[in-house]
Amino acid sequence: MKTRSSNFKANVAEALHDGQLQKALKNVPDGFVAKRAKARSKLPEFDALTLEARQIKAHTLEHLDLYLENFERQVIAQGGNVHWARSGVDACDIIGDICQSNDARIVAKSKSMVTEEIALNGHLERMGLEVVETDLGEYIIQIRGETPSHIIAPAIHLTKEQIVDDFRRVHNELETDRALESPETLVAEAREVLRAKFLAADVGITGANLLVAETGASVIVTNEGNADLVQTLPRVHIVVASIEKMVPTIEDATTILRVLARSATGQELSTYTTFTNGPRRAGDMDGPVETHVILLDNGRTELLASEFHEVLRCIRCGACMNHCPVYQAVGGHSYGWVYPGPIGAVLTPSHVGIEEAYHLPFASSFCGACEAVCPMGIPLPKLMRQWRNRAFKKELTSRGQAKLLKGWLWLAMRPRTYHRLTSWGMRAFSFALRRPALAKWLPLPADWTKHREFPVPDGMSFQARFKNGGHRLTHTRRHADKKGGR
Amino acid sequence: MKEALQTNRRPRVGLFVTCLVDLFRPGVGFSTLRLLEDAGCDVSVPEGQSCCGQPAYNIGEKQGAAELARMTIGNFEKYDYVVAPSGSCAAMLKRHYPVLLKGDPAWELRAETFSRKVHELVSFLTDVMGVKSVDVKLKRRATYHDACSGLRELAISSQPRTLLATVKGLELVELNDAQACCGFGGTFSVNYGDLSNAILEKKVADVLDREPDLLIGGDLGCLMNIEGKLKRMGAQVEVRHVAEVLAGDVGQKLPQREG
Amino acid sequence: MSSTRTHARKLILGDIRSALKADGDDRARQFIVQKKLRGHARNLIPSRAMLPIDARQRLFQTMLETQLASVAHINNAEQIGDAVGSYLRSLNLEKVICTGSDKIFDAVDWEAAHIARKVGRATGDDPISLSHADVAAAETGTLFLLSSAANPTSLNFLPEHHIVVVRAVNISGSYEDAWEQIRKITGSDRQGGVQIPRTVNLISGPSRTGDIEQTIIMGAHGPRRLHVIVIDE
Repeated sequence: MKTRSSNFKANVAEALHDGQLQKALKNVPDGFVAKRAKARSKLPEFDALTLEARQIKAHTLEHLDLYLENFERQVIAQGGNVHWARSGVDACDIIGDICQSNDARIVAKSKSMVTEEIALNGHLERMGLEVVETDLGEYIIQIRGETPSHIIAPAIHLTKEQIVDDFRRVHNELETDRALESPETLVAEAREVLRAKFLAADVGITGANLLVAETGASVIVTNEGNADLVQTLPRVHIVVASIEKMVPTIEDATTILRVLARSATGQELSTYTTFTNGPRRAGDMDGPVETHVILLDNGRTELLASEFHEVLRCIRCGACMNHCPVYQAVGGHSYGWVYPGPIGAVLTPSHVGIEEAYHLPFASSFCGACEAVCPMGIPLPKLMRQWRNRAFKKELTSRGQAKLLKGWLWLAMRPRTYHRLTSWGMRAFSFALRRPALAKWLPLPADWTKHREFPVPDGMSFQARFKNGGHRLTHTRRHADKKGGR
Repeated sequence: MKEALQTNRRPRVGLFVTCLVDLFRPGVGFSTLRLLEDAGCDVSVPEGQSCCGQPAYNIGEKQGAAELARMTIGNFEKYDYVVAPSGSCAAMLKRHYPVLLKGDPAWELRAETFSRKVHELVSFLTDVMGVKSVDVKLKRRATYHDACSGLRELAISSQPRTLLATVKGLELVELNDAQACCGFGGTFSVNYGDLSNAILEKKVADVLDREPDLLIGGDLGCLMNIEGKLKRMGAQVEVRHVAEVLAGDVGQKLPQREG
Repeated sequence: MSSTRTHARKLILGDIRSALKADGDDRARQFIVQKKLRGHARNLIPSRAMLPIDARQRLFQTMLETQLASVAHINNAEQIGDAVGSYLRSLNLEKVICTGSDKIFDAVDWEAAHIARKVGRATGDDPISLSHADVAAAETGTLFLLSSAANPTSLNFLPEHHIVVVRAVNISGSYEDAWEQIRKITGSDRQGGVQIPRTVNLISGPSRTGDIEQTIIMGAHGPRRLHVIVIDE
């Protein structure tokens, strides 16, 4: 997927002026945020379970090589195939080859962020295959030629009216004057159109929410049931999963499942949670004849060795972006790549480079809501700050600001000089701010004054007053009520 | 949660004024002084202080932040407690100085020891000094904004409300979402102004919805951010730091606009 | 598989080990991992998943009904036919069902119930299916369906109406108890084998989607209706 992360500021401006998007984004706090809070209140052990889930993932990552080997043994023992892919390109080649050797024409997919990451659909389409997204949200953005704007709800940025227009535009074998205004009719139409694809598909491709080392299972959760149709009906089933999806046992999987849906949508458990272990057994009447699991690296081993390794605990629940004030303001497309929100701010630079994506870790107020709701306790603000360190070292951010900061630090390290200068400096500044003729010459940050009045200092600094007269409260507060700044 | 003091003498507190209080709202510093003294502390204001280092730290300039950390620790570690009228500055000193100086053999332990002495003002009063009430009359309608750092890094939420509840006549109404970020985030507000403003507008809409004439909070950065917007909109809401309210330094009426 | 691909395996495992500063041959690490894999140790189980039998079965029903499934009760397996007939009549549906060869259905006189029964996998044209869940978990009203000729997986997803029979005695409190049952049933708790069925579907309600303005609509791709018949004997 082509990145637009370096275009972040322009993306933000566009998003803030997009009326449809702003209307759709209201569903985030009203929906997912409220629902997660409710689910958490209904399960007293929720917080304790997140601590356990965190430990499970930390332990698994510490022994990831051994768990991967065991997983591979289990898959092969049950008649499945395992492929190791170093990069996204390698994974696409492997999957393309499997499709080709099976003379596949139609590929049905369930929602998989990792396949977005490796741009799989485009690769298969260039080979001449028809690729059909079956998750309703993914299907909608596929027919719009868009990318997902949220990792759980890919079409959350769209209004119903937009979707109606798309269906009318694309489903032109249906009656043009059919009723199509309600969500019910939209869903019924999608069900009908996609059913044909499920039944015709030669290859089904799913991602995996979890991989279970004990049994070689891949675990998928959906509410629609589309992933189950994708992995049961076609002759060939391909699982694409990045290596950090691993957990040791079924019991570990269930612990994580207890916090996954609750964190993501506020449901107690996704309607369909499926453990799949390979091709048909003797006596099975349905199921794929041939199965493949693609174990994808694509930068995970690098992350594991780095100061960002904690991000590998992510189970892709989306809670961070749901609670992020930045995401709530501009939605997912502004981030410019596959993963939006706080998790996107940490992952994107590691995939596309800090030079391309430096805005993302900087465009945060560090409110910490993301870390507070992350079921895996990933310290997202700390990881974003680590990217800021790297960006600063590479001089990617404003040089003017860096110089200002250097000056400020020089002064701050010399408190006596600092106090003398600031005492008089603030009096002068305050004086100028209160007189519009002078104020317009002051170098006030435009990003601030465009939207807010600049604060007018009370005059002499605290340190100066304290030195001069102790505890007398000499503030000149009433002057502060005059309009200051530009 | 009153911590046991080692001796019978009055606790010696080093007041970390914070640069925003020092430069913009010195009154907050004096209110803080009075609150600490009334609670039974001997307060000093060491000269060797300027900035906690957050701007450098958050822009990625670790070295500069670490230098400030060493200077601050050196000047404050002699006190029993280090108190700041700001959740974000207190969190910087308490949570992030040890992170910054980890791995530096000369400073790692000093930073840890120092960290244990650091407190935000209101939580220090309630949790350490056992202050249960203030003797202040203020008959106004107010609402309270929970600054993010204080809330999430230092668990400050109930303490200011506990003390504000004892202010005679104060009608404290809760925001619809008191914990929502105000969009300040330090350099975020001047580097990503439109984004900051979008977040700020939601907070301000919430404030105006509750119809207070006074907005109270524990962090000047947040407060000046919200106040700047209220002023631009011409809204009649006074914005004051919780220290000023608790010390009785806030007027009984909404100040009239001049000019 | 090409040599670049087998090389990928070596590279990935090698990089993981150097990242962790670990040795693949380290006996201590291997022991820890094998112990974990064999132990099936349980983590924290919520109190809601450890209720006594009566409360557990009430919770099971409440959770399913909250998820918009319907629940009916019968006394023994022979009554399955009548219960299914009753459900179909209530919705004016044609009395044809698709089922697997699960033994629990042997006891049913389908002719007497006037129900035409097709045995086998479901196709896109089968409107109603009937399965037997060997195991269930009350904590979230979740049915566990194991793939086999007895209960082909396609029955769970293709038809519009999915009816599932479950014995009350097989309703566990927790997922962990349910999985322990599955290991026993399939013999995978015995020495040597890990033969969990090809597919285990945990189903907690009918199909739905929230993808249109976050409004929940039923019947996205899977069954529009889920009807659960609990055998109380």
